[in-house]
Amino acid sequence: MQLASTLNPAQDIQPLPLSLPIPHSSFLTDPMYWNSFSEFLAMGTHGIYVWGSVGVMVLLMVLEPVLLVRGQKSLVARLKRQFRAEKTDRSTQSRR
Amino acid sequence: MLKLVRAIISRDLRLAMRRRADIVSALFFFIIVVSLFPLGVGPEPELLRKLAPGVLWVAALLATMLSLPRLFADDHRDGTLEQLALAPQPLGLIVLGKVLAHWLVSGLPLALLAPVLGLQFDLSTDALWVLTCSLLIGTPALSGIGAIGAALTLGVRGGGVLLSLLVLPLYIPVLIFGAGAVDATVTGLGAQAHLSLLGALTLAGVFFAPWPTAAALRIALE
Amino acid sequence: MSNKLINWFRFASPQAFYPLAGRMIPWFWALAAVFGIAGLYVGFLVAPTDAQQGEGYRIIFLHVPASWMSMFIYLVMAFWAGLGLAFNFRLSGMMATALAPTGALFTFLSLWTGALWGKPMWGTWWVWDARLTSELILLFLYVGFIALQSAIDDPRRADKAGAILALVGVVNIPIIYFSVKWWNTLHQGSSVSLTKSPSMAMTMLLGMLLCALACWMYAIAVALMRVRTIMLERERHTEWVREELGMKAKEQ
Repeated sequence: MQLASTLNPAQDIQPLPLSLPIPHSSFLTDPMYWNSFSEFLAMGTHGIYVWGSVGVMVLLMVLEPVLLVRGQKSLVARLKRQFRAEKTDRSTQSRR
Repeated sequence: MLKLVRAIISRDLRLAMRRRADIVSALFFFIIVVSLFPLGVGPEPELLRKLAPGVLWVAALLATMLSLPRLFADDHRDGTLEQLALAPQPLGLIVLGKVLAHWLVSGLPLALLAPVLGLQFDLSTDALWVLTCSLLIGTPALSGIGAIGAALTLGVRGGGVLLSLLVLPLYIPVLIFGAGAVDATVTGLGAQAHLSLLGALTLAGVFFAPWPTAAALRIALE
Repeated sequence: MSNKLINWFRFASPQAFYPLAGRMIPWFWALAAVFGIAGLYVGFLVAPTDAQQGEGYRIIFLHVPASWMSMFIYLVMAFWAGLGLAFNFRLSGMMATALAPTGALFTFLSLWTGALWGKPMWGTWWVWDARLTSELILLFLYVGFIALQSAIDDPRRADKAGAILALVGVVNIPIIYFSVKWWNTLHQGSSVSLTKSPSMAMTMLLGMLLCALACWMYAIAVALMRVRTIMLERERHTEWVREELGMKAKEQ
């Protein structure tokens, strides 16, 4: 749990290497930063803050499209009902 | 052009004089809100001096808000507004006249009353003087920006609350420089820079705001 | 040239845009998912820790994209609104209306993640810093726009009134930001330094860009979904809505 022991000097901040012409980041081949899952969850000492941000952001960004899909579905159902009612209305009374 | 603006101002002033109670209520609202603060935070002169600029300015913003819904509503109800919109003169100029008239009955009395209220907060003579100046310079911008909100919410349900929701965020720069001028005087810095910026805001507010206001009025009249 | 222009205007009618948007939405969702997973992978699993801020700095992988989007969406919204006001396109006003709630959402998320970042870094949930304050005011502007549009029943008038408000807001945002900054420099009460890490590692920058792209694609997908609902609602008396719902009128 010691923060100092988890710090790997080789993976510490690498300032932008100015000599390289192409910005290079081998994130696919880079090893994972964490040594264990519990370490990942703890986020140093900032677990609550990090996961509080992630949680609320993910929650709201899932909630918004879900609500939109539901709204669209109920609107389509309402309009269909309305059109059907109008159609039968028109065929029975033949108004307009 | 000037004649038209002057005619609108004198007409609106005459109308406002018929309902003096409204002006007086807004002023008393200002007095009461300002007087509530010492009761809420305690009577220490040190603290009150620190709070005074902000309290007086926020109360002034709220007091100007009170009369804004009426800016176009009466003319809209009796059809005058439609006549004005059909007139050959640009609607923006007519709005400018109404904005100036609104300032004369809302901002100006507030500015003249503020030094008396400033005494409650133990402000120095210098600070009182700057307070009056800042309100005199800043409140026309409030009338100008407020006119946009008043036109947008004309005839809309829940207009009064909506108006404050739209307009108060736009008032923030005026509040910052207005209260900042007084604050700078209290802390011994010069108020010059604040007052010039406030003047710039007012010029921009009074001369640019009538055009979006006119556009919003035309939308409301469609 | 003119032929191309006509082609574009064809999609400006709700009738043509509705099915097009329906086909585009899954693609934007896919892009959002790909960028989002890649960004979170880089930001949360690969990126090294920040020497000064510790692990809490990882919040900026969410905070910075949310802040960017909150401002960017307001500009896009004002652009559509202005276009609608100038050329009377029906679609533009609907796009502006559809973008506002998503913009407000990102503004809220920016404030929320900012507060959760500030607590471990500065020891306080909130400071009256120029950027935070401006973000809060931006939220007020979004709320005002949404409230004004929902208070007006006639959609045409709602679009136009909202457009004027959005344009006034765009003109005012620099003034508000400048005044808040001025106010902030005069009241140097808080002694926190707001400079983020001076040199950002390439991996961190990459993660942030991927997350920002994900948020962007998300915003487009959600806005298209909302604009489809708005279209159906507003155009429910037209023939194309009937056809779209498979209820073609017999007399036609």
